[in-house]
Amino acid sequence: MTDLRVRAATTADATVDTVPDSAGPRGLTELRVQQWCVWSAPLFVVLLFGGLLLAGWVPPPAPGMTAAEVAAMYAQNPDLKRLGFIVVFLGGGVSAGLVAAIHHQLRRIPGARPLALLQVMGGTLGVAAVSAPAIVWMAAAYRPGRDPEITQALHDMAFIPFIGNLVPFLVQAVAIGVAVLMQDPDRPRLPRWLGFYNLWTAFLTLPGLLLIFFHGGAFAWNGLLVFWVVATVFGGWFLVMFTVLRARLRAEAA
Amino acid sequence: MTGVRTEPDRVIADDGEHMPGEAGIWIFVLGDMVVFAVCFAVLALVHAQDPAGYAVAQDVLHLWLGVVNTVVLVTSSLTMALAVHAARAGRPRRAASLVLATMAGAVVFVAVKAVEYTDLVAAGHTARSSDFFLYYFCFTGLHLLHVVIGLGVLAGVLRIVRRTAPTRHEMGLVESGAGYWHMVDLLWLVLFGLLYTLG
Repeated sequence: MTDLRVRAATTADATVDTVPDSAGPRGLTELRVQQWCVWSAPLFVVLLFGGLLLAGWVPPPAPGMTAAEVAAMYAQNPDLKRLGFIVVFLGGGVSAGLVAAIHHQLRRIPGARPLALLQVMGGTLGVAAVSAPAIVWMAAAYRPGRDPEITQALHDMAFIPFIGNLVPFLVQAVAIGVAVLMQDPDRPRLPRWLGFYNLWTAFLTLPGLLLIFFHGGAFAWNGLLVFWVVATVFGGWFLVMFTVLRARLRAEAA
Repeated sequence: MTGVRTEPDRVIADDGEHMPGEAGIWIFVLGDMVVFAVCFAVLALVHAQDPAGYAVAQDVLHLWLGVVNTVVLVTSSLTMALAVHAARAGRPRRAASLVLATMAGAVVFVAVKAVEYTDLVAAGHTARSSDFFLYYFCFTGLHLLHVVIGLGVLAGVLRIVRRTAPTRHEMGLVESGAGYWHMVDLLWLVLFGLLYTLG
């Protein structure tokens, strides 16, 4: 089945899948399942930023806070914070749906199969990059009465990777960017601008890696360049991928 | 790049309405410029908060090294533009040497920046010294990364223009590469203005 698909994609018309879609029970075709998968992107954005708002993490707490200040912050609205962490955690899992939908498109680009796989690796680690900090926040909020130094250590342990762990996303975006630009320019499956867009997005995540040097200013984890620019670009990426994939699936359905 | 390839059709005339490069590269260029605009705003803010401190730190920079790099980059932008013209005119050897000249400019820029960084750090001015130097190192470093990536882009452009008859698509890639390089030049002009001469 899969081999047939690749062969179909490498022959003359790469944009149209000539192999009929295999339907599951109740007519649930791959196309239909993909159409559901792409919706995970806007859902992820809502859950991620909604959870952060619930936790009181927008704008993020200043990295320069003392241990006592951090502990006092976790003692404030603890249950609302815990709820926020659960929502962020769920968001991380939900984002996997988009990874699967992107994979389905990339693997049909002739020659791009290793990149399709790389995209899945980056995207999968991206799920962990959101989920793991959420779990550490949960641990930090679990015992409000403990030594503030420990809470502060957990707090750093969550915030540094949450804002700074951009390498999985970088790998994912570069894989998509290169794969999209590899397409036959005359018959692209995905628009070519999407390739440049992904490369640009990958590039933009780089300043985030500098956050471990700073406790204040534009490069700190709550700074203009590291939080606000990256959060906008990162959130925007999910919405752009959603829009493009949805248009693509609509064209396939037609 | 597999599949049926169209016959090479060279872009010969520029009718004045032709958009250089492919549409996608402009997303990259404009997006990147938006981010640098944020960086420029940060510098303006640092200057506004402490104009005197900004001026003191700025005096430490070697203005003439900045000027040399500015001249180098502007020249390389010119050689790049001439290279695109040569490629369009079907003169692959001339185009290739002009791209090589552009790459030489990029290498000189990196070398001068390395001298500048070494000298500043040796004199005790690091990213920790002041807000000015923090942003000086971060922003020029970010720009330097663009230059290094640009070297890779130019190497790709060189491979294409060496061919006698690049296809329309390949010419689009050459123009896209040139567009990227002009952006690197333009961003440096603003960075140079803000870091070396503002105030």
